[in-house]
Amino acid sequence: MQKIYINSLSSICPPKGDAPDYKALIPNANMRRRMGRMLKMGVASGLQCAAGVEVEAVITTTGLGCLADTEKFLNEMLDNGGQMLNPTTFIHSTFNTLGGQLALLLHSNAYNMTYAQCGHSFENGLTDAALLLGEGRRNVLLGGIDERIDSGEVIERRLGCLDSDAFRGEGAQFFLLDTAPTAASAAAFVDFSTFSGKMSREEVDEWIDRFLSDNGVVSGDVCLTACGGSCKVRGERMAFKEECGEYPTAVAYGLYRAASELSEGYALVYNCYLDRYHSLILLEK
Amino acid sequence: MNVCVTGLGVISAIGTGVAENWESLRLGRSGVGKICHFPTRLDVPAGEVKVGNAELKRLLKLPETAVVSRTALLALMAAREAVADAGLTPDGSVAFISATSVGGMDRSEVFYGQFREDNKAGDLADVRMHSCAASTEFVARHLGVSRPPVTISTACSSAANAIMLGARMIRQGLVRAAIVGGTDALCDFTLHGFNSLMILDRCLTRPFDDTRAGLNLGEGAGYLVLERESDLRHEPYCVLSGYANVNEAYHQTGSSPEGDGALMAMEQALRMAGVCPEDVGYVKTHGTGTPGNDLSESRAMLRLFGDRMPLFSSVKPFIGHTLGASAGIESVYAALSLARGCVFPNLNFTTPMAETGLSPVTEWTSVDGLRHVVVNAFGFGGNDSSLVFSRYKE
Amino acid sequence: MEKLIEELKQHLIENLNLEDLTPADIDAEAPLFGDEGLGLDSIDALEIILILERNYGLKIDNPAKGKEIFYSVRTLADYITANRK
Repeated sequence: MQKIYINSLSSICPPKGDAPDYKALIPNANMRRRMGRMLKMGVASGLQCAAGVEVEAVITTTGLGCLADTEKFLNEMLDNGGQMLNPTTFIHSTFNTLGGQLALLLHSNAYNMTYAQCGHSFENGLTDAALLLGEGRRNVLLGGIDERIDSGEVIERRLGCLDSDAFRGEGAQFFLLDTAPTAASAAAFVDFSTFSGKMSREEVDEWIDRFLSDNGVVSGDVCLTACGGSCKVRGERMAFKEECGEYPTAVAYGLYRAASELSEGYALVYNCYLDRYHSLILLEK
Repeated sequence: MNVCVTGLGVISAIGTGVAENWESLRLGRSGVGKICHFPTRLDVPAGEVKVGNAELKRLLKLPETAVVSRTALLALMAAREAVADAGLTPDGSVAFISATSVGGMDRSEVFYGQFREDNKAGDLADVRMHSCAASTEFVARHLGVSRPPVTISTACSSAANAIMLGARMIRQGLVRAAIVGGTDALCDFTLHGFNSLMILDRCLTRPFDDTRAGLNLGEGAGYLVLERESDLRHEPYCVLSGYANVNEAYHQTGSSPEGDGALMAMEQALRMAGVCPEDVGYVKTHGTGTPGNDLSESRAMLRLFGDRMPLFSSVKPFIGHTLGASAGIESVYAALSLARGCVFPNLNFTTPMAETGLSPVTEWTSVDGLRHVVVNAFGFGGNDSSLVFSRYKE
Repeated sequence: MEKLIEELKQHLIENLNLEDLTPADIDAEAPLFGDEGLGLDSIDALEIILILERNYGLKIDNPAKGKEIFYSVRTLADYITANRK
């Protein structure tokens, strides 16, 4: 694949204590007032990342969308079914609501897309971003966003979707991707790969070996491994889920951390969600 | 590179399978009526698929006891038909790209009613398929598509975006074929949602009519198989020659009165297809029947086509607005329109709207030499997408 | 009437999340919609319909018909006074 540069990146990671001043980041009070927590997080992060650039595509990705608004609307429906309900929470329960708000605030008529493929949502978006750049678009804005709500965590634990030692996280990371670097470029994608299904630890390591050798990279050149699952570590180990927690688009945080930390050579991001959504990203400085 | 439509599959309020849908369209038989499959306190008409979940499972040879969201059952019915129709053997070089707006909410809302009383209550099987991805994965698994699947959720334009992505993946050589489309099941959540927006008509929807007062919701699934021309095993239905995805960036839910987004989408899609507006023979409109959409879409068509307005109609009076599935189902119809040379009637229309004076086709019409059909799909969040399907071999 | 106006302002602030405003900031005569007033939009109109329904038992079936009623806090109060049973 052609080289894709990360020319800007932003992160809001509440589990790490990020509590941005949303009034400053989203100055449009009339739009801000309706936003729930996840929308504020996503819009603020997206606007920060795209600041000063005319984006030619907006891709948002989320495993579960605005859970708090969805739950609010469900509750209202069960309490007052048959009557008219509050439309705002329903509007925000649609998965593309964040993409739409970003388009409005960026005044962008550009391509606008939303992926909701659980633990592969962000990877779906990354595939699309690569296609768009291959078609000649520039400055593709790509983000991964999910929020944590109490009842959602209870359900996920009952379903066995969270390991007993994992904490349920949330966050919003955005990346501005382009085929040409700038002085501010954080890193470049060499390649990425996804696999859906169960893999043993050995199979994961074999998969990574194959992925690296396909890209002509030897283990010793990898200075940093951002692990969102268990795999053999090459270079420095960065267990990013200890910071952001577990959630469907946590890989976006792993990518953010790896791209921010990488100072030389290659970084590998391995993510595994729910033991069946695997992905690999290879970055170079 | 030509991306060809080689297989079609559909399930909707007017039938299970392409043949039944075709017959209902031909006879002008609407599937919109009273909601029977789940309890709701809203008394509004909707386009329900007449087959219940138990029967769907029987048709799909699934165990009676399997708890599967209706969204997934509908999807598998249509996707399986499309794959068989194309004679495609799914493998690692085939993509499955599915769109949905609510995923498994039809089961989750049942679960949540019990869960909120007691957080240890509720059958977990009912919530396991909550995420949009669940129906996609269910279908991919049953079709034998090993490549990680893709789920798109851009409200009412979702399936158009799925179709577009499939074509783009084929063109760039990521896959040799793609199974693309969308699925959505009716549920109380969606009904109440659209009710809260006050855009549900209590009577039958009347797209493009001066008296139109909102939409009727619907459900169903529609999938197409897209393949490279070089892989054709038989004559395709048509070619997907152009597509565009734009954002109107006008308002969170409403469309601009002048139809700026709709115009941009249609213009860009036609430009990509290399088709002049006057060569478009039929526009299968988004035509939801809401005052806002239909005015906006009409004005966009007037701006694009001027006094050479092609035939146009909305098929939503037949099947309701099927949201994430709509562009899937309606693209199946568009492919049939090109392959068989006909356009579908816009039911329930009597009076042109005062602002435009435009009248859609109201009768089943055979058209000789139909070359290009435009399919529109517009959604909340300003998402506007248009597709151009063209006759195979001019 | 003035009590009703104060009450309405409070409802608007709560239901429309006008978090930066106090009742004193809202001019009862100023237009609620459009740029020169509070800048409310069609979604807010639906929220105002809910306020009328839930707090005053008044039903408006068609948002387009609400245009004159929704012009300002004062016109809203007039409508409620005239129609409340």
